[in-house]
Amino acid sequence: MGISFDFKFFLSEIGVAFTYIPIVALLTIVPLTVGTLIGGGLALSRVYKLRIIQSAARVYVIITRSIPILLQMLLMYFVIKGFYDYFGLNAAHLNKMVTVLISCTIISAGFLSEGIRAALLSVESGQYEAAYSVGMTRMQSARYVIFPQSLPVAIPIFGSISIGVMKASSAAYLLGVVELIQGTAMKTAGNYKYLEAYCAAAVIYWALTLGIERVIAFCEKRVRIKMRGGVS
Amino acid sequence: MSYKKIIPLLLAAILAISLFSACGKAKTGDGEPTEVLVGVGADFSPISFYNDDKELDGFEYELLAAIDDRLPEYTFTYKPSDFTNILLSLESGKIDAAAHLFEYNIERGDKFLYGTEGYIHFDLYFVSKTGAEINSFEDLAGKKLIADGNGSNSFYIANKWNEEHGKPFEIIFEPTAPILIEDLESGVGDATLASVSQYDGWVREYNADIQISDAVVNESGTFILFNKDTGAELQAAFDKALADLKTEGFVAELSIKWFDADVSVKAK
Amino acid sequence: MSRFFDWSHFQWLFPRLLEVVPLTLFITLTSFAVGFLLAVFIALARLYRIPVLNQIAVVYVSFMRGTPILIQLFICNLALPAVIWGITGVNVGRIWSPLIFVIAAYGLNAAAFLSEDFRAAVSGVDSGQQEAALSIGMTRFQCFRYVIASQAVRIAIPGFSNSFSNLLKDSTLAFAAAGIMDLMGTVQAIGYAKYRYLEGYVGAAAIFFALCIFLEFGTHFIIRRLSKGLSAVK
Repeated sequence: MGISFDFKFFLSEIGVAFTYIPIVALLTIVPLTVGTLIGGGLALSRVYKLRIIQSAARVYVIITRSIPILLQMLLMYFVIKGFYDYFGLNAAHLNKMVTVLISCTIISAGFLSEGIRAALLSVESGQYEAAYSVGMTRMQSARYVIFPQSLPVAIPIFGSISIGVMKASSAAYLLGVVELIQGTAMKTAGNYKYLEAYCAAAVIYWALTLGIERVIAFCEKRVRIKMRGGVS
Repeated sequence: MSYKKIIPLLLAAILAISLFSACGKAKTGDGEPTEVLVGVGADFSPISFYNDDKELDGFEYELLAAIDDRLPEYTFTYKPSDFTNILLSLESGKIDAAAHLFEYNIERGDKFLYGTEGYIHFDLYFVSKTGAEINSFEDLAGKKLIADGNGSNSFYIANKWNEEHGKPFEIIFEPTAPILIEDLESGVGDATLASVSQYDGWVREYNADIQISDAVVNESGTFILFNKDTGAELQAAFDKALADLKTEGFVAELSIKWFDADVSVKAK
Repeated sequence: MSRFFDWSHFQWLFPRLLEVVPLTLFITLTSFAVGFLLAVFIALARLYRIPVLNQIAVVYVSFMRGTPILIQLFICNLALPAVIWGITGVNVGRIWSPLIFVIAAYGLNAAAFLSEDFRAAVSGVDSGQQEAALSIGMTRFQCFRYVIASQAVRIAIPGFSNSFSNLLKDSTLAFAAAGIMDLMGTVQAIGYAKYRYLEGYVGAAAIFFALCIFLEFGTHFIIRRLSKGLSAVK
C-alpha cells in the first residue's frame, strides 16, 4: 500500500511545465542582472567603507535578507500600492508582472550584495595595500586587483544565489502572476494528482538548475587556471 | 566520565525524548475504541478553523464531533492542515477520513471513496463591483474572472464551464484576499465566485465596494472522503451516523447556527 | 489602503505569534544541525574526489538545490512514510509527528547548500597551504584538520549564516506542506479565519526581522574575531 503515481499524467505535466520556462527565465534574469548592479554597488560601498552609503546599505541588506521572500512579496505589493495612492495614480495601471519584478529585484540585490561582500573580503588585505602603494585609486584597485581575485569565491556563491532567485520566482503567484508551479498544478484542481504535477515541476526546475550549474562550473574552471586555491 | 561528555549526551537524550514524545498514542487494545484519524481544514472559516482559544471549531468540526458521539466503537483524532495536504494524506494512509467541504467530481471519485451521505450544499455567487451586470457565466464573455487558487472549487467549476463553451472569458489568479478585493474594485478583474459568508466577511472587514449577484452557481452536496482501498467499513459507519443526524434535524440546526440558513442536504 | 490594517487586531494577534516562535526556532535549529553534519561528509567527498561518493554527492546536491523546497517537503512528508511502511510494515505516518518528516526534509535540503558553502570556502584557501603541510609530512587528513579547516571557516561564516537564515525563512512553507502550526501557519490560519491578513504578515515580518538581526550581529562579531590582522580594507 502506498501512493499511486499516474506516470502518463506526470509526463504530460512535464510538457506543461516546459511552456512556463520563459516566465521563469524572465523572473530570474532581470532580478539577477539589475540586482547585481545594485548589490555590487552596495557591497563595494561597505567594503570600502563609504560612510553614508555604507549604513544605508547595511540596513537594506539586513531587511531584505531577514524577511522571508513570501512575506516580502506580499508586503511589497502594499508598499508599491501605497506609492501609487500617494501620487494619485490608478491602481489598474499597476501591472502585476512589473510589481513582481520590482519585488524580486529588490530582494535579490540584498542577497547578491552579501555574496559579493564575502568574495571581496576573501582577498587578503595585502592586495589592497599593494595596489595603493603603486598609486592606484580605489576604483582601479577594485577593478584590476581585487575583482579578479575575488572570483574563485564569488562564482560558486553567485551560482547558489541565482538558483535561489529562480526558485523564489515561484512566489510570484501570490501577486497574481502565473508561474511554473502554479501553472503546472492547474489541472490538479479537478483530479487531485498533486504529487505528479509537483514532481513534473521539480524536473523542469532541476533541468534549469543543471544548466546554471554547467555555466558556473565552466566559469570556475576558467578562473582556476589563473588562481590556485583549495585542496586536492 | 568527564563533565564535557555528560552535557552533550544529556542534550541528545532530551532531544530524542522530546522528538519521540511528539508521537501520538496509537495503541488500541481489545474493547477499546479504534482511533480514527480525521483530516480537517485549519484555515477555513467558518467551516473548520482555530478559534480565539486556539481550539478547533467550526461547522464541520462540530458535525464530526457529533458523528464521533454516535460511533462508540471509534474515537476521532483530528489532524488539521491545508486542503492539498489533507487529500494527499488520505491517499497515503496517514489519515482515515477527510472533511473539507469536498464536492463530487469524476476524477476525485476515481481516487477516493465518497461517503454516500452529503451534508450541505455550498452555493457560490458572482461577486463583482456592480453586481447587477454579472449573473451568469454568459455575462462574463470577454471579461476576467478572478480565481483564488488552483485548489478552490470555484476555479474548477469556472474552468470547466469555460472549456466546455469555447473559453469566452479569461481566468486570472489572485490568491491573496486583500489584493483580490483591490482587483475587483479597480477593474483589474471583473468578477469572482464566492460564498455568502466570504462576501459578508469582505464587506465587513474591508468596507469593500463590491456586490453579490442574485443568481446562484449551484453544485453538488459535500461529502466526507475515505481511503479507496481500506475505507469501506468506516464509510458505512459514518454514513449511518450522518443519516441519523440528518433525520433528526441536527445538521439543519448546525447549518443555521453557522450560516444563518439551512443549506443542509435533506435526508432521503 | 489603511482599511487592510487594523491596529487593534494587530495588538491582539502579536502575542499569539510570539507564542509560536519557539517551535519555528526548534525546527530551524534541528534541521540546521542535521544538515551541517551531513554536509561535512558531502563536502569532503567532493573536495577530495572520493570515487563513488563524489558522483552520488554531485547528484544529491544538484537535486536538493535544483528543486523547490516545497516539493521536497511534499515528497518527504508523503513518500517517506510510504517507503518506510513498505520496508518495515509500520505505518509511521500515523504515529510519528509530521515534524519529524519536515525536519528530515529541511535537513537534507540544508546539507546540500552547506556542502557547497564548505567547498567554496576551502577553495578560497591558497593551495600552497596544503603543499606546505604535506611537505612537512602531514597526512591529508591532518592537513585538513589543522591547517585548512580553520582558514576555511573564516571564509565560510557568511555562507553559513546565509544558509541558516535561508533555512529560517524556508520554514514558512512548513504549514503549506504539512500543516504544521508554526509562525507562518498561525498567520495563515488566523488570517483565513478572521479575514484579516495584513496584520499577520507585518507581525511575522517583524519577528523574522528581529531574529535575523540577532543572527547578523552574531555573525559580524564572529567574523571580526576571526579576521584580526587579515583581509578587509582601507
